[in-house]
Amino acid sequence: MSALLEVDQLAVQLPIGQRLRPVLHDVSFTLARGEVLAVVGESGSGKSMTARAIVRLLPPGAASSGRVTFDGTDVGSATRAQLRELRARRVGMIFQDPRAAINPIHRIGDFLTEALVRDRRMRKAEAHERAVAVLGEVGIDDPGRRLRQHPHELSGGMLQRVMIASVLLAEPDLILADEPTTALDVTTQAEVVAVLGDLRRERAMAMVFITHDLELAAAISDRVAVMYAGYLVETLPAAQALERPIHPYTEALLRSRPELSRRMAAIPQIPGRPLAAHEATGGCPFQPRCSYAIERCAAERPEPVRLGGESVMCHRAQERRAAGSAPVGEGTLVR
Amino acid sequence: MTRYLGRQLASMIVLLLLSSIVIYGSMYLAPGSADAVLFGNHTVLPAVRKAVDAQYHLGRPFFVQYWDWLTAALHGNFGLSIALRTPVSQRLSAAAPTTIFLVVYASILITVAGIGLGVLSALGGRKLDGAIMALTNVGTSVPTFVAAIILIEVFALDLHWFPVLGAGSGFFGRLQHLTLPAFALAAWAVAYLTRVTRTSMRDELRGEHVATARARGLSESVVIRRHVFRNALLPIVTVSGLQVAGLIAGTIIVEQAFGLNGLGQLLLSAVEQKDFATVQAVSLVLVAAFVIVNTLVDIAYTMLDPRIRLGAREA
Repeated sequence: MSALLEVDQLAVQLPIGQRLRPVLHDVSFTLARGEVLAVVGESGSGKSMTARAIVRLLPPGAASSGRVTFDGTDVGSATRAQLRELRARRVGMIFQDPRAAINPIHRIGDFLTEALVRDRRMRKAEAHERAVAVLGEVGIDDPGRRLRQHPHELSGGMLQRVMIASVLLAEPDLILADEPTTALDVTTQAEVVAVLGDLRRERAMAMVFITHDLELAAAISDRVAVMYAGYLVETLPAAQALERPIHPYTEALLRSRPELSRRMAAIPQIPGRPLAAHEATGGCPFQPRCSYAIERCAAERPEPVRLGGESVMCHRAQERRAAGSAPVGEGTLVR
Repeated sequence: MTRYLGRQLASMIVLLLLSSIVIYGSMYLAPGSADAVLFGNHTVLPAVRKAVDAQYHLGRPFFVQYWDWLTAALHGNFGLSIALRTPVSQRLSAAAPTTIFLVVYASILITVAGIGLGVLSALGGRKLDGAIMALTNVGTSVPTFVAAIILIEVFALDLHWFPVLGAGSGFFGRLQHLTLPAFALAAWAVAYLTRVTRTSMRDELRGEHVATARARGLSESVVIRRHVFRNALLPIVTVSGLQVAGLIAGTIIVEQAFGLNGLGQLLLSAVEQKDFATVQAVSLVLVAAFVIVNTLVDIAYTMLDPRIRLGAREA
């Protein structure tokens, strides 16, 4: 069976000032039906842009190249109607801040049933019934009353559940979740992730889950994709992400986690500052901050290499894999 | 909601009462007493003076005078015009239709053209946007009286499309006579509202909730109507309300320029004639119209934005 989603050499440029600047470089990955891919990276590494490019939801003036194929259809050459169909029924999107993403003026009920009533010509009563049922599923009490309320009357966690409910109502094959828990407080985060994970699994929907939390990524997904400065630097099975990453950046990310079990004098950091995608030069984008960098890294950009189930963009990938890469979790500083 | 409406209504009444006190009291601030105006240099018999004072509620404590005047005014009786010796209410009802027609006509122009051009400008291409913005630049920088003179010169004197003077009679007569005055009156506000509408639409277009609506595959017309325009309406309604309320004062200039005998013209001539009974009556009507329009805008505002209603509901 072919993949549900194939992203091949996707690149995006945005107009910043007078010229187009790259925000995404040659991103390639595939996603099978029902599979969960977590995309991890710092702010500005191109995570959100990747998700938005999948449904061609790019800012005005953006230019893109490469190919996105969803279930055999080329998204790049889709007509307006096909694109609407794709967004309405095949791919659902969950945004970071539900308070900004849900129109504050309409009632929760209108938000949930809008697409069903207007696009699918469903009777209002039936759409209402479905909305009540799905609100119950995402764990909202008294759904009938909630439907009559406005977004400002609900908490952030509640609203993100409403957002999830709205995506479930569309019954898509793929969910794009763009940092769905970042705007929520810690206890609600766990609940929202659990609700999203469970309901997705029941319905066997595939998901691209964007986060900057590597541990959460490994916990929720089948595979983890790590992005840096607009490049996809490593894709690896979730089980390996926390133990044997190959790319030095993934390894450095893991070392930068604070440990809960013992007191640390300082949380280890990756030296230097994150590069913006357009600042990347001819070499490896991570080279200036990499403790394993060799001369070749500054001169030549590595191509992604396949190593078993992984894809790594590093000149020293083979060598690091053979050495079993460095053990992680000792709390030693990367230098 | 009922509670909120009650509060709005109460504050409107208080505002109207306060402004009526100011209007009535301003007679005392103006140079020349009422007696001096009425009698000029004539010496009058005490009996006559007494009768006149009684008729105009003079010679008694201020608040008693004010109360008599107000209760009579509420019954539509504004007393006799000092200049013409006819009931002020007659002068009012003769002048009001022209002004009401003019204000309604200009209000329709403002809302339809202002919002329409603003939406076109926000959604249209670069060229259309540029053209509309250039037009609004002209519109906002030309004062009403200049606009009136230009319109008369071009459309009345050169092209003979519209009459130069007079208010016309009957609906179509009025429509023809008041078209130029209404355009002159509306021009500035149309340009201003166009700009406000454009900015507001553009702000909403950038909103995250619009991205959500698009990501859900809603048709572009639903996105624009339900998620852009509907949200952009809040500042649009506020500004339209203020502009329409402002027209009521603007009519004074336009009626003068086009020789229309409306309320503005009546107010001006009454001031010249020191006809304080008429000045008070016209001022009261104009202020009341202003306050009522503003209250309506406030109410419309809360109906448009559920977040504003919250405070009223929990109070």
